[in-house]
Amino acid sequence: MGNAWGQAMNDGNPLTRVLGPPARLLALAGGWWLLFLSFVTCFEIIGRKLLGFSLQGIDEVGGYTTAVVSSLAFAWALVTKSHTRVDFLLAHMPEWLRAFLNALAYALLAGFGVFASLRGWAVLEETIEFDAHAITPLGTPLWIPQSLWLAGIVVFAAIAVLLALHAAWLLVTDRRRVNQLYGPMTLDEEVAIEASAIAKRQEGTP
Amino acid sequence: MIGVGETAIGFCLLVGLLFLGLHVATAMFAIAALGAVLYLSPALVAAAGMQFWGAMEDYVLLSIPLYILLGEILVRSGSTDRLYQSLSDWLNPLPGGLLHTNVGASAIFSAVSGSSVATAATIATVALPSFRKRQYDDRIVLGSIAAGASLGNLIPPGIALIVYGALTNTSVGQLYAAAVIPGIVMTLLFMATIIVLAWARPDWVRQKEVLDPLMVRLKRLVDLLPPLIIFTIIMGSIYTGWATVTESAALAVVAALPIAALYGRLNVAMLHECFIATAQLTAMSMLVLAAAFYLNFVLGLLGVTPALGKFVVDLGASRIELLIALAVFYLLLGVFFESLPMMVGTVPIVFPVVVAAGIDPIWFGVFMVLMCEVSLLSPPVGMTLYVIQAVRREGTIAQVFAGTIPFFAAMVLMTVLLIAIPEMALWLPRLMYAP
Amino acid sequence: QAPVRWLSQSQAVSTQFPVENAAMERITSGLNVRIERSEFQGLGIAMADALRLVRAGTFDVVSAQIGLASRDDPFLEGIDLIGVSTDLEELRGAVNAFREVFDNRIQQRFGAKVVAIWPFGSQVFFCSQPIRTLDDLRGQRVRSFTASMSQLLERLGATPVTLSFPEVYPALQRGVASCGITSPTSANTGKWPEVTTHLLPLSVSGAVQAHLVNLAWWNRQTPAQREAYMAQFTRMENDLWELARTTNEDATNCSLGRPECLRQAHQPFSMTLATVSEADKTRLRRISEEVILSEWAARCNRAYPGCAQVWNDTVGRARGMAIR
Ligand code: NA
Ligand code: NA
Repeated sequence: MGNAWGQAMNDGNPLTRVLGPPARLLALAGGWWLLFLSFVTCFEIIGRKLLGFSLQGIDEVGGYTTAVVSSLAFAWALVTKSHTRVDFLLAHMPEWLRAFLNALAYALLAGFGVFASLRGWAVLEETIEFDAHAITPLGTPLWIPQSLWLAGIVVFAAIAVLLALHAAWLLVTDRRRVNQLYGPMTLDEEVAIEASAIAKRQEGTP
Repeated sequence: MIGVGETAIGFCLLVGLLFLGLHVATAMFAIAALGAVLYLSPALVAAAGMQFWGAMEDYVLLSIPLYILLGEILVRSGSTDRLYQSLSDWLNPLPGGLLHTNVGASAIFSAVSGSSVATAATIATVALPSFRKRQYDDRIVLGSIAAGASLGNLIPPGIALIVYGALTNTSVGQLYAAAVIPGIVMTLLFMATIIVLAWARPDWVRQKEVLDPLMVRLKRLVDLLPPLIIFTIIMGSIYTGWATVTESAALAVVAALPIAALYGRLNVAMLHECFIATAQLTAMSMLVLAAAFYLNFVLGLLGVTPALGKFVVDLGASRIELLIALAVFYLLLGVFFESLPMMVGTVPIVFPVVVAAGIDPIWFGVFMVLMCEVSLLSPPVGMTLYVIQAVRREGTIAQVFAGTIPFFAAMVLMTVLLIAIPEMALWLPRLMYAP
Repeated sequence: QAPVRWLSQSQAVSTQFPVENAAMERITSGLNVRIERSEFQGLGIAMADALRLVRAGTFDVVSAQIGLASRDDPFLEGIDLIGVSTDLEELRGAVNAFREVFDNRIQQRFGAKVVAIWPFGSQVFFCSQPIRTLDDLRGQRVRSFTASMSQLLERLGATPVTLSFPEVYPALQRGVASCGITSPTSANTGKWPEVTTHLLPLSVSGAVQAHLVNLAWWNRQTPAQREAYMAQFTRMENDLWELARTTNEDATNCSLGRPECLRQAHQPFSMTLATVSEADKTRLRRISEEVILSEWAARCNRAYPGCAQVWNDTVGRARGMAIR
């Protein structure tokens, strides 16, 4: 689906075209980490059940992984317009109102991202101030997972701010483009994604 | 502390913001922050950072990306196509022919995949080409695929069950056990629907399927093995105590790799596609979940839980009346909403009411997931319907809508059955987790 | 007048709830204030965040598990280190010796005041294999939940396994772990005696908890109010110590199937009790001195130079132990 998601991004938005590839890298890094952790988990289960040892802390690292892998993927979901919106009423509104609401959605999402970054930083700051370590056998210094987690949120927020500014600018200059670039993912785009996925699957069918 | 009136206003505001097309996460956070500032103190808005970290740093929730990854690897390994073929060998003799395979293959794929939408896309992709060459009514073909897809979350493992468990602090293992029998019953109901349709409207199912020789069909049974192996690994490792729910997902991911390799599909490009799809679905779920947890936190501090509980008790409604009211509420809500926003938006408010009324939290989890599946199937806002239409690339979405009607009726019947016979969901978890 | 926001531990699983609730009722009527009680679990808050929440003033009163809260300051762990107190009486002596330095530290670092310190109860061994002495733990997989506990287990030749509390029962049932450490009442209410056979009542710690109040909030109260609050908190503390003794006694009686079992909070089972030998007590203290204390001192020293000396002068003196 890599190419298909690329198509969804390639809707003529110059911002997502530039920001997409780095966001994709973050998402891929998360994927490799998930796969690695899955192997380590197998090792732990076999060790615990058959060989009488335990790595002690897979669950802890797994918890950090949920936070980090998801926050690192926030940006990717943003540039592919995947963050969930309810578009039922929106689709039936006049163009000018839709343009305004689309720009508003991005402005508020950016506000949410910036707020989450600031409060996330407050958490990390306290962790650093107290030099907090997990009380578990691993004793993880918490600044490590929390910095990675915060990094994902900050990248997400920064991109959201850029998109919101762009949408606001277009609202003044070219309303139609707001709806085209910042509306919820349209059926056509979803069709493109699925169609490309099918093509890929069927290419390889023996 | 706020009362039922303020809660209702807040809920309507939330629905309003969602209809304005704001991102679901933004709308939920905005309502929560508004409540905190109006009725509590700004210090509680500042606590949001800790909430986000606390909500996202969760080992049980790691099973969400892991099950998505598992589904993606299996789809791309080609094992679903083979599963479909092999299953049709044995289901074709039933009245309704190949239509049963849509439901049956969905059920089996559901047992190794956590997502309804993934199930819909996969089965539609595999099934539609076979139907182009055959004489079945288009609508009923599409309806059976959409119906099958709605098993995706009901038959464990399922993301909706994990999210419900996380939101309400109920055991995901018990939820899985609870969903097994309703999942099977739902599958049988769908098949019964097809049989009834085949009998009532023979002109819709004119195709007589020709069976391959028995030896060929027996040989193809091998293709049922991969999903069976994965399902056995997941459920077996959980119930023997070898692994926790999350660990079982990790085991299954590792076990799926040799399957993909065996079918000659395992390579870095394929893995990257899996990772990207996983990242996208995980990110959209977790952003909404983080906001939902914060909403949960504020609602808890506002004392909504005891207020609503008292309201329901004072109402004096019986368990049945309450459940019928909830079912109607969710059927209506499901018309406009997708399953995830519907679940995270309502569970924090509805769950305390349900608990106050003495309804089993595990049972309600199954009920809730069933309601989510109905919402996926109910037009005009139903993700699976659009995915199927997208895969189809011909005809109109109205045909898809029409085709789902009989199956929608079957789901309503299922809802009634689940309310009438709660043991359907409660028997297995009690047996397995008997103290 | 603004209500008192009181963050408490879970009511559903807590035998302590009636005692805490009685204190809340006395405060409500005696001081004419409204208390808004919330629970960690209900709000989806991590117990490890207790100190940060009371520091930020998100809540006025917070009930904290010291073992978890010490994530933000290892010094706090010093109140109840593994192997220092082997029963409740010894623990109470240690807690009282540490109280002042503990409170000072929390005031300075977290802007909060300690108003009550109390234990869940002795943390003892439940095994699905015959166990008479610590020696029998050799080669067993034992569920551990802190770094110090893992060190103790490794020293005893056991394999520590990390599992969350709800996972322990199935783990014991299916042999993923053969022993677990918890208080008799938690074990009984968690139905551990169904999947374990032997109980070794040697306490490795007391699972110490504390009630903390936000200092700014505390200073806003009049001296008379503070005195009235303190009287209630102290009474609650005493009641909680008494409760820890009686409930765990009853839980032990019930788990062993003795006729004294009250059959109210706890169900009767038929476990086998091992007697704690002096040799085991001595061995536990020696491991504590050789491994646990010095490791803790090293960690503690990073944030609080000289903390080993503080411990030696307080708990160490009370228990006749020292960090060297
Ligand atoms: Na499933
Ligand atoms: Na719908």
